[in-house]
Amino acid sequence: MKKLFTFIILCFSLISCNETIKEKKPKNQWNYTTDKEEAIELKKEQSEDLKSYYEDALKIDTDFAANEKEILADYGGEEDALIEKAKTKNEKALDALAELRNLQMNRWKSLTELDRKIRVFNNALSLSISDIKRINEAKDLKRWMKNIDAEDKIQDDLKQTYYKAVEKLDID
Amino acid sequence: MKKLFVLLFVGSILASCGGSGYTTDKEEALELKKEQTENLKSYYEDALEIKTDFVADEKEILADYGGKEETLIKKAKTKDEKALDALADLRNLQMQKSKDLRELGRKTEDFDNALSRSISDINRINEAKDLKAWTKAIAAEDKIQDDLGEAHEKAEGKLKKD
Repeated sequence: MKKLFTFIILCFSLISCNETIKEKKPKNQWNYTTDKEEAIELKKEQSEDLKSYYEDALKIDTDFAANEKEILADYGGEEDALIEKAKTKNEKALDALAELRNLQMNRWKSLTELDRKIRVFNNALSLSISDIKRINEAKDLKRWMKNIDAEDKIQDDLKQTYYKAVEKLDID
Repeated sequence: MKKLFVLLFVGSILASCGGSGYTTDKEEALELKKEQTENLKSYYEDALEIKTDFVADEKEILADYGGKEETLIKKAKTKDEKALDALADLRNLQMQKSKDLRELGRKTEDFDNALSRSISDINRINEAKDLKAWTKAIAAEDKIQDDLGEAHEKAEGKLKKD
């Protein structure tokens, strides 16, 4: 019984020790790769991720635009008019200005948080693509480059659609 | 006990609503600016520690390649497994450094953002003549912060040379 207990303890120690090593030096923590096919798969995954990224970003922008409109309603929808009123030390205007700034900071924070979710993945992929180009001959990358460019085109289109939608919101 | 619970609950709601640090009060903004200067001291200390660790680890990875990334890349071009592994190690190390520095910046970004908007708005809603002493005090803090930034850059430059 005592031997069995010692054996179990020893096994646990070895497992936890192995996990510590894994944690300290993960092999492929960020999906960095120099494998061409793997990089293409990740690039496609990036395009898919971007669809929901822009959807979520537009939702944040839409909510912001609605709230901004409400705050600026008494000032003809113009921030400059609110600033002019705040210059007179009007309490209501100063409160509205603080509310507007908090709203802007929250929007910025939400967009930054959203960006954070994909930044590490994007960073790793960008380094991977750059290194694949550096360690391979251009002639061996023709088909691969075509695939990467095709995904870039999809991603550019998604970005342009997002920008147009934000422009429509007419954020001050 | 019930009252304490309600107090804590209300307190946490208030903190989450009004915790941005944005202000149009000149004196308050100046205090926050001084706080920012203090925060920067530990920020640069921590950033330098991250960069120092990075340089040491990078040196270790590149030791077999004369300390040059270009040499490692050339070897990786031959599909040498050891070089490809070293390249992956180097990239992971670089990404970890970026991540650590971002995390560090994240601690003060809301505060810095609110203060920057506060100072901008104070400048916009007050007459320049009423801001002379205040602007001077803000500029003095900016000078201290610039000096801290320069000292950090110098220390970083020294790391690369060593």
